Amino acid sequence: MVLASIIFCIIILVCEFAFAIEDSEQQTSLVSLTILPFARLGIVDANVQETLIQDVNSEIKFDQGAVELAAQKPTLIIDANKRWKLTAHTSGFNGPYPKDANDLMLKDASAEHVENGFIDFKSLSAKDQEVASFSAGVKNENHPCQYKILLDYAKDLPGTYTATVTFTLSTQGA
Amino acid sequence: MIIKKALLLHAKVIILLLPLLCFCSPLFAATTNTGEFALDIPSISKLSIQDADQVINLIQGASGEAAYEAGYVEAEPAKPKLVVDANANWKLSVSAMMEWDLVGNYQKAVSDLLLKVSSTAGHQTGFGSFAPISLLDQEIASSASGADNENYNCIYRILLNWQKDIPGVYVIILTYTLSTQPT
Repeated sequence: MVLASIIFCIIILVCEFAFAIEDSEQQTSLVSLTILPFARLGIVDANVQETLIQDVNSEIKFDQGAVELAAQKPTLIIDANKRWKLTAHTSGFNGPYPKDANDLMLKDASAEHVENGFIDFKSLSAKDQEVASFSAGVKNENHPCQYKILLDYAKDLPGTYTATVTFTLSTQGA
Repeated sequence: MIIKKALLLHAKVIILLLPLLCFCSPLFAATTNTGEFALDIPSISKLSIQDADQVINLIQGASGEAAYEAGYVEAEPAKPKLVVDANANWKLSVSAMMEWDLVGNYQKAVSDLLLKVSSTAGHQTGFGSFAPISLLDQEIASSASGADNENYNCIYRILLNWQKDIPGVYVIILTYTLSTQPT
């Protein structure tokens, strides 16, 4: 009887020791995020207007052969999460006569990533031209632009000339 | 599961040994014995998870761009949902199992994954607002007593950066751990 009791107690003690350990459980959670190429083009002061009045300044502009519109108008704001390209083209002028689309020039005064000669005034055309590009993503990159319109006493009749310029921002490559 | 098996074995051993112990006594026929039954309950905890895996697709459109502009994208609320059961003092914690999978050569920071947890159980100790995940275990909740079906609703937020987060598929695995604690 004594031996049996001792054995029983030993078994109980062994079991007590065995069950003194703590318990732990784990679960996993997988998070998957798929990001596609993104590009966002913002524009400030999109519409620009200039009026040449009958004064000596207008005569000077005709003599110089061009009028520069307000600086930093429009200003483009670029966001992209990979390699990107900014292009521009124009629909051409509507006005008293079919003024040449090349008479509309554009300059991009951004400190970075301007390409294809647009760091200075360059003529636009009906065909898309690269204005700026970069091999990686950018955030809130400003491109302050400015228009310049060529003037010619012999061709530019009095009247109102309007042109639409389309800016396109696109991501590039695989 | 192992502890359940051990408990069952424990009970079986006692049941099997009782008659043996009785027959070992030469005075069995002449005496009366009072029967004893011992039930040992170990520390037991159970962690359940619902909607464990979260898949987020940033679509090309206003919502995707808006997410980048906001600087983050959020997964659906209350996903995953953790359910805690424990019969002793316990702790619920979370950590990242490893870094994000590489996208090209880009290694997204683990801390770009934020977690927010909400619970009405009254035992939450962390992640009451969005806080970054790390490779180290961080406590979500704990209690000095047991818990019965305590719900912890999680929501993930992933930080986005135009200049860093290139297109691709980003994957990371989190580990939630529920453990009973030594007294």
